[in-house]
Amino acid sequence: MEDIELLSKVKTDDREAFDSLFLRYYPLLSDFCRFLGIGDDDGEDIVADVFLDLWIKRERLYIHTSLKSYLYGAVKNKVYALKRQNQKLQLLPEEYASDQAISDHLHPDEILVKKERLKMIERFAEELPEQGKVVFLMNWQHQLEHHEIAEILNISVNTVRTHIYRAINYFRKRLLSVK
Amino acid sequence: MAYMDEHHYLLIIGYLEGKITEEETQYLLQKVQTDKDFSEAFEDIAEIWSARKPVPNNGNRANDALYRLNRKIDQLDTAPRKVTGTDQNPKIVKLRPVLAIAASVLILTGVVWFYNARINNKPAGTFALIETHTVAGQMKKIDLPDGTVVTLNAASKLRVAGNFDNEKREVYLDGEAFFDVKRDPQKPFIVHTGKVATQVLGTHFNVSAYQNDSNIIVSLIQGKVQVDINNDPSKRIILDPGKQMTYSQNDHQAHVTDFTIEDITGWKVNKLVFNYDSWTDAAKKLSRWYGVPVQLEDSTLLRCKLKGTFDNIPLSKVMEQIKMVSDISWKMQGNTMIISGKCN
Repeated sequence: MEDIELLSKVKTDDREAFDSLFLRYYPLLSDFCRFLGIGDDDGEDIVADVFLDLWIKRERLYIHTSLKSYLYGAVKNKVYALKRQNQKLQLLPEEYASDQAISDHLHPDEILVKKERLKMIERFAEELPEQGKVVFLMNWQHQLEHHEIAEILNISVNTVRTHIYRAINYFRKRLLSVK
Repeated sequence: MAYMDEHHYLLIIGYLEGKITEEETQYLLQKVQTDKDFSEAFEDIAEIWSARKPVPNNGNRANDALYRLNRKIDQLDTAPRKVTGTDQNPKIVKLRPVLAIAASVLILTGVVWFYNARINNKPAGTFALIETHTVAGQMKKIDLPDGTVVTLNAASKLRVAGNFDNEKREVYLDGEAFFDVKRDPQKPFIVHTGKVATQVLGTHFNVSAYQNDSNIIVSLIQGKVQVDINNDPSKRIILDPGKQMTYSQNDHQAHVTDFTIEDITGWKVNKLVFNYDSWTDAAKKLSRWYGVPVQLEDSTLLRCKLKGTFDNIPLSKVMEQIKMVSDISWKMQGNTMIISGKCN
């Protein structure tokens, strides 16, 4: 069933439709939290809060774009609010430091393996400026359209494109350095 | 490594995601073959894009999180819920039917000449607590107390038995409706339509029949349904998915055939579907859909059958389209539409 159909059922108090939406978006949104630098437990709280809001406001909720953009946007706002509240969270996750240290010591054979390539790209993404990283991962990993990313992050479509462009230039440079 | 412009990068990404036009694809393929820088960039980006992993499907964690969220909502929602939607039917607060599967039953039924008999046969006082109807051109959604959702098509009437939800869940339908039946093995859900009673046995169904028409049709999409005719166990039919039972009001015979889902549920998405309907039935359908009396002038028309699907367009456009492919003509006389002609 389409999002819009489920959403209209939610508006008529349909809890099963609500559950379906939650299960559909939970993996995506908790992954989104992860790359915004939020741990799994806080991520779960944030996603649950967003859906709780959705349920409470269901009758008067007016979504002018798409449910997907609304949910990503709401998660993003809550993550940023949490980060403001708790400055410590602005630090990158701990694994980051160690990963960073070994990033240039990859064995050449490793880069042939897709899994390694994925790790490598994720690591390169971590090296991007925060907004660039988020834009790239939303496009690359979550396959969101440029206009959706622009809506969610409240930036222009051109800025989204520039971020993607810069990310790819950076990755190509980095890939060249490990080849 | 040569830097390229943003447009070309986005073009390559668009290609990898299958989002560019045929023309752009031609351009890209030609570039890959002739431009070394472009071809290198293409390989790099293809490598980055092929490394993309699927988003982890952390199902267990999601279910746990959902369980916790639902407990929170249940605490908030202890107050009785408001009745929403177009209907004033009572609604029961659903307590956590997390993954309960709704059974879907589509019933379309009819029979003008059985209608009165049906009403009169009902034991007094057992039902008719809730009654809802629609007028021509109207569609209505009804929430039953057990969580079943009924979508009522035009010119239809649904009565819910007074003892509904005790032992059996029984409803009486005169018209056409889509039933989304909440699974409850303890309480069979029965739809009474004239001489035909359709009982839900399994989890996922669609049943269908036609109102005011020559046939009652029960169509099953998933699961199992039991169809009883005239309360005669020897005539009981159990339908498998993809099969429909057609009961003729004229010769009182039932037979089972295959069907196409869209032909049966089209009306729910505002599509007017004629599925080898006789002109007699098609005229009734038009009349219910557009709220206009329809008369057939030539008896030769009665032998023709009609197959076709129309979006929710004005009656005159439907008629013009039918006219283009068949040998009919139509006119309005007052507010009545008169159709004449013959079979092709």
